Amino acid sequence: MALQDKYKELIDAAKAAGVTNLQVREQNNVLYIDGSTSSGAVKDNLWNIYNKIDPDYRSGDLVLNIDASAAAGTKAKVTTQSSNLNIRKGPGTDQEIVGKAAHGEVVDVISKANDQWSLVRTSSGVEGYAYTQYLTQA
Amino acid sequence: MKNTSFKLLIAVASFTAVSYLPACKSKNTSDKNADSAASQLPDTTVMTDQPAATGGPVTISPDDSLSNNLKDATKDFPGVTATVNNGEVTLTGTVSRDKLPKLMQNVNSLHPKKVNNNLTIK
Repeated sequence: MALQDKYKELIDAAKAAGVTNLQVREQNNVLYIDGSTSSGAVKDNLWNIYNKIDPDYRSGDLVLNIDASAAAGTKAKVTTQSSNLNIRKGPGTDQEIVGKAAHGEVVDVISKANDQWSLVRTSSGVEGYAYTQYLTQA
Repeated sequence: MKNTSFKLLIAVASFTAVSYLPACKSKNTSDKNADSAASQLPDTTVMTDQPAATGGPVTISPDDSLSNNLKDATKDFPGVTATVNNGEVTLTGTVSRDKLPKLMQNVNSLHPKKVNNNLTIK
């Protein structure tokens, strides 16, 4: 319970922001917070709170998994740091690059291949797999 | 010999009677105590079962899938090395502070048991 106290502000913020499927579990001295949101801003805010409570995420006592990626059949914004997002032939960085989407560009999410990779189509018609962490619900 | 056994029998019988009869009485009270303790137990049980109530134990990815997914998760962070041991991901190397949240978000989404951030932050 101590960890839930430590990260209370984060948990409360997740609840207040309406994070769906929110799960807060403590196991072997690590707190696991999972949930989904359709807002990239909510995810960023929760990560900011995490960084405030535990500067530079040094403690290793929280695994925060907030999924703000776009659902299949919706549009997603490319939220890379600044670079282009590679679109690949298959789900994996070992797969050939078939195209690129610019930072901030909006793409169509066709389906999710797995937890990490989504099949997308760019406005220029390139279809392939992109890393889901860089796709935020538009 | 016979006399000794008889004495022993009496001793055992009287000891049993002495200890058992009040024990009966006190057993009732201790039963009541046990009952009232039991009536508090559900709370305790709920507490320990809390993980189940919120979706069961946490699923941790196996090491081989973590290692594989870490290649993708850390690809855009040259200078960062990620190793896996028994579900624990350890990050070493160097990263800039503005890139750290994205790196941590990528790694945290892989269902690790724990993330050890040993990075040097510029």
